Amino acid sequence: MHAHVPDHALPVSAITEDSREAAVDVAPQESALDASTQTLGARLLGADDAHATPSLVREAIRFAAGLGLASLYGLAIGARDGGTALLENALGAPSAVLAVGALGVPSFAIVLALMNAPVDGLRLAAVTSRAAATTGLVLAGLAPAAALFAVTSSSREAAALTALLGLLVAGALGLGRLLVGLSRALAGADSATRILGTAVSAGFGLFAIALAARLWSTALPALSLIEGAR
Amino acid sequence: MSTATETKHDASPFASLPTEIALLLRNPAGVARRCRDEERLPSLAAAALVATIAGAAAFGGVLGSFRGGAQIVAGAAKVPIALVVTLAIAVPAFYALASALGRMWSMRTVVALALSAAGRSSLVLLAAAPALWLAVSSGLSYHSSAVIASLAYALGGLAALGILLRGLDGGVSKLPTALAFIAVFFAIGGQTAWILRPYLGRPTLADVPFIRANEGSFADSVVKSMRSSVGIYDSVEAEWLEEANGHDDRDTESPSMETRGHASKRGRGTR
Repeated sequence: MHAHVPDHALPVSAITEDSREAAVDVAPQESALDASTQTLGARLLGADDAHATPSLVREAIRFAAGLGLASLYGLAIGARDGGTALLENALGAPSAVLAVGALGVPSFAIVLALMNAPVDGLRLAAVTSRAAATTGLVLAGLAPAAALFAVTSSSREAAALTALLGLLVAGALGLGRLLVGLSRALAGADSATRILGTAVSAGFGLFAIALAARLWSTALPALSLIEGAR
Repeated sequence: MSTATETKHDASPFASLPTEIALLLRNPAGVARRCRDEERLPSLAAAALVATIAGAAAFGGVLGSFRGGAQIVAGAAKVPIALVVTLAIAVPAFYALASALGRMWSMRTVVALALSAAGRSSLVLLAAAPALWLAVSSGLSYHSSAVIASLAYALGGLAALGILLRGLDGGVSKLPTALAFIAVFFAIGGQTAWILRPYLGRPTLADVPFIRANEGSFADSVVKSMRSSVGIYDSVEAEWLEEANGHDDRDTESPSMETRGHASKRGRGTR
């Protein structure tokens, strides 16, 4: 989603060696900063372009951080029912992100390999972890607002609607980041592979939406329209 | 800014209050740049916070003067509370949305931008307060007062946008980020303001509560409209009347409703 300036146009010379990898895909105002002044958001969402060398451990930590942040949103929307609903929603909110990452992405990697697309597993893991982190960060940011609506809305429908809105916004931003990252990864391929890759990515996007909708609708009691249904 | 001036500002964030308040009003672009560059933020944030609380309190007091008495104090307390709570809840969302949309701001920048925008908006409310007071004290009706107050809020919102939009300099994600900020702020602000009603307080009411009972919300009204659009009409009032009287009596407005502060279909509730 970092579309302000092409990566090659960033002032890489102004970046210290330690922060080079993390700064290559960030907005211009942040790119001139050294690692010590990088924001939490910059460190979490990191770099996903072709110049950076992903590390599996770092990407796993980033993915886990995304899941943890998403669970904060679950806690917030579970505040309406309280009790065990807090835990159920806290586990339910990251479930869709986990499922897309753990079930969808490996299948997608196989399809990309069949196409001989220039996207290896590590690169795909990097793109996925940043997408998960984006969704998690947005959900965590919206969590206080979600708690406000969950607790103060008089009808359950309104509370469920606002909870759903937050999930939709965060899911859309995460998916958008995933697709942009894939599109960048495919940029070096020949035109036929690029077109096919774009079509397959769009199909994966639809699958991710369906999977997330299925999981969130079943795993989140806060989206149920019946008070204390679960 | 020179080192000497920085030292002067470092002495107390409130030392340069008049200068900073003038900057908020006159130079939104400069304020936005300072927020992004994290330049002398303590003095800017302090001035913005003072402006927010003072401006909103004055405006709230004038709103409360429609009914008078304790409602003046209640209004003066509730409007700043609503604004500050809205900011506290909206800032994490602003930070997350800005990061997700490519603006890797620090939390300090986001807090400073939000505070500055709120401060500028409250200064506009402060400027509108005397005119509103004159209108209210000249016998302006309840609904007209509410409309004029809404216009003042709209003007304040525009003033806040002046800083916010300048803070989002350039980039293809400027519009989505601005729209996301506006949507989040209005949703949270609407809900917070809703739960802290009433502000004006109708003179006909025997007793105006500090905060009304929880009855609907901004989101509830959206849901209600969606249901109405598909032919399902429901009403909190109707349900309450049914429970109270044992039958559907939507057009009857019992005296007890006034004291309980329930809104009727004709919009006679407290605002």
